[in-house]
Amino acid sequence: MSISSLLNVSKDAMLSYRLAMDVTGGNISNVNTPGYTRQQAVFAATGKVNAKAASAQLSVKVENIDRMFDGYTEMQIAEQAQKAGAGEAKNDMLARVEIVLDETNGGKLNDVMSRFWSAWGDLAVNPAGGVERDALASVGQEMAAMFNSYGDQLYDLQMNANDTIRNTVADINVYAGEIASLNKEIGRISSTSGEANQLLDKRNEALKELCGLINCQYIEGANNSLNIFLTSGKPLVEGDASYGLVLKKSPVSDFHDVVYQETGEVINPFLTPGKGKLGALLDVRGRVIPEYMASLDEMAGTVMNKLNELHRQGFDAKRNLGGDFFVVVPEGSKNYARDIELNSAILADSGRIAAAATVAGDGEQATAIAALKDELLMNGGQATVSTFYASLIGQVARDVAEAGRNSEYQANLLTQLNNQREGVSGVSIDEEMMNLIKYQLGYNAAGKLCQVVDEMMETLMNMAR
Amino acid sequence: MSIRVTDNMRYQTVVGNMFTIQRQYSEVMEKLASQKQINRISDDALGSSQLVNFKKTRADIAAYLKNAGDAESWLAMSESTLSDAQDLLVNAGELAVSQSSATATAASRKIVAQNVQALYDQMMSLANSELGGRYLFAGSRTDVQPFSSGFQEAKTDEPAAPTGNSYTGAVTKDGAYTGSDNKSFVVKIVDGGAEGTATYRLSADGGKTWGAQSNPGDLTGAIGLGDGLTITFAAGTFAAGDVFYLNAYAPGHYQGNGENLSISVGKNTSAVYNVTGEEAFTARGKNGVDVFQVLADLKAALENDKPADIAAQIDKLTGAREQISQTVAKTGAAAKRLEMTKNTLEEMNQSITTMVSDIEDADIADLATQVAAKQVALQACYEVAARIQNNTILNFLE
Repeated sequence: MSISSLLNVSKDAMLSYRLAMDVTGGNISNVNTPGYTRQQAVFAATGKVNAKAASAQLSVKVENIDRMFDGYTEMQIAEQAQKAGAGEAKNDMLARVEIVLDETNGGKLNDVMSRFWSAWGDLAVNPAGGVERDALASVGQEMAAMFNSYGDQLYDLQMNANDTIRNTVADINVYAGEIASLNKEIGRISSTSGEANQLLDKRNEALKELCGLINCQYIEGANNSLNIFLTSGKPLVEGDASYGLVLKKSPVSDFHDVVYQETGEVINPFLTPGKGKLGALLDVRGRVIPEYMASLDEMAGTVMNKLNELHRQGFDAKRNLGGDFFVVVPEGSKNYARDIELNSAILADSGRIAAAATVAGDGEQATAIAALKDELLMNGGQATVSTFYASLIGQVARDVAEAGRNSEYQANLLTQLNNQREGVSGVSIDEEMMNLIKYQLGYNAAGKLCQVVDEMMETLMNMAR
Repeated sequence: MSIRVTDNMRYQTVVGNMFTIQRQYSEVMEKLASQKQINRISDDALGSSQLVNFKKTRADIAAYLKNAGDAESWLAMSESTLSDAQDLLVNAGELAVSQSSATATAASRKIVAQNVQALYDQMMSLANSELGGRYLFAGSRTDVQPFSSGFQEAKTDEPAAPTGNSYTGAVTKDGAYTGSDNKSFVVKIVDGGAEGTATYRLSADGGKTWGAQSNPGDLTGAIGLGDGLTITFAAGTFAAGDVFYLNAYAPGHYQGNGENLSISVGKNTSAVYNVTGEEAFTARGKNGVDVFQVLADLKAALENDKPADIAAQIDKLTGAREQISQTVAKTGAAAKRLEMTKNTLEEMNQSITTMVSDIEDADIADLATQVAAKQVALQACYEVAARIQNNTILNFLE
């Protein structure tokens, strides 16, 4: 090996270390970049050694710039992001349901119902009393309004979930499109030497966001592309093509179905409630809130029908038979909670309240109606209106608490996995500093080598003098 | 913890922990500020559900107590009125005894007759006592003055058609009432239509219980109500729910009815709180004495100066006094029962309030300790956060 080639070795080393320091600098500057994957210069020895020929042509080069990356952890994160996304979305929605049905501070339905039954009791004591009649009509109206407000607020929440679903679907389409175009870019670049590293980071971030939104699976395909499939088996991203989701008005409800645009297939049933924001929202909108609503409707409907039944048998202040006390507007509506109203005839004239069981004008019918509060009217004769409501409140409270706990748990798991990812892919300033020292030392040493070669050259030159 | 500890990991861990402790801290502070263990229903699902039941029960108890209070004042008023009536009868008895003796003269009897008339008037006003605009002794017809000052033969009111009826034809009654007590007959139209097709049901107790549904066409002729009465409808169109009623009165002074008034003082528990004028003052009472009749007879005997007739009223007056005395005892017993019921309700109220408090109210001492503990944790957390990057290799590089 010639002395001059030793100069080349020195050059190779200095260039390699400089490149490594560039990579380190990149790592340091990206310490706070979300989704950034730490990169590392991989040194490799080049040349060959032959002791017999007294030749050693050793040098160094940066063979590759590695992206420090653990595919298994990334897969776990993508999976966990789905659960965390669903948990968070459900928790958000249910926390708002809880506000509607919050009974902790009084003045809510339980209170109004108690006052309603008490007002019947008061009327029973003084059936001819105009004050008692007006008070009852007013609290009856208040109770109907309270049912309306609960029903309307729950419906508004469903509508709200519907809007959020629209936005979520738009986001999903954006991320799917982004991943498809990144697939295209990445496929164009030969990715072995690290040119695609930044694009891969970007795609990984997009994938995680997408997983938070929708239940999906992914596999790596040809040309390093990332293919994403819905649980229905249909692709969301395949190579450089993405397939959109659209919304279509449901034929059976006021809300929208999520439809796979390519085939027009409704994919609601494939979106698991526990995975992805979209699935959770569909579940809350289509199952959870309707269940609460059905309970409220059952309550309002039962109170209305049983009370009307008794009321029609009684006599009002003018000795007419009682009419309906509560009505639903529009007539025949099954949305009892949202549509129950005090009969306008009673609102106009509280004398139409039928408190008497006989034409004598007694208060027996009012007593009988007041006693409805303790009758087992609900759950097929298992519960009173009040205990039924108490168990609804208990149910909502449990669901909300459960959603809160689950959301927290899933978020914690995601944090742990993210920490695990950080452990592999994250940047440690201390480590980069050590690398910097290490590479600087190498660089300095290579410079020294150059200096030594220079001195050797000089020695050679002087020998010839 | 993984082998490599990176900067983001350190920050995230500290920030994550800080949020956790801050959340716990504000939860405790919220409880302390509201003094409540449950600030939203998800804080305690079971407790929230129990609270709904307990609070409803508490409201029920409050309503029962209010009912009992109303009934108590009614009973107290009834009791004092009936005692006064009793005193009047004692007074009348003394007058009868003194005037039945041979020492009394026609002149004295004339004068005493005036006294008895005064007693009669007082008795009438007692029997027609009101409380809050409702007659005490009218049975369930509390809006009708129960006693007329003169004796009345059996009679019926004109048939009444409430203003809400759609039938506007004439309704006429016929026949003499033969019943032994006051009744309200009610005709209720079941199926509407012209008189040839409409059907009705009949009630002889004001609408409490109903007879079988009639056949179409039964409305065309006179309808027998029972007790000698009939009612006839002129041709017209009826609507389902039209109501017609007819009040009938047995001979005497009484125009109320024999129905009890009751209030609920508990789940499936009701208390009767009235004495009907019928049982206190009429011949339908326990001793079968018509108080007003006795006083009128006494007065007549005095005026006519007939000692034997006067003496004959003495026993009846005693009977009348006993009859009223029994009703006084009845009010006393009812008041006693109400008192006991109220005590039980108060006790229940107490224990429910305790239970509500156990579920709902915060344990301040416990919370104060927790606040202190959370404060220490929060301070430690800030301390760590402030020092997070104190030690790095950067400090040692020249």
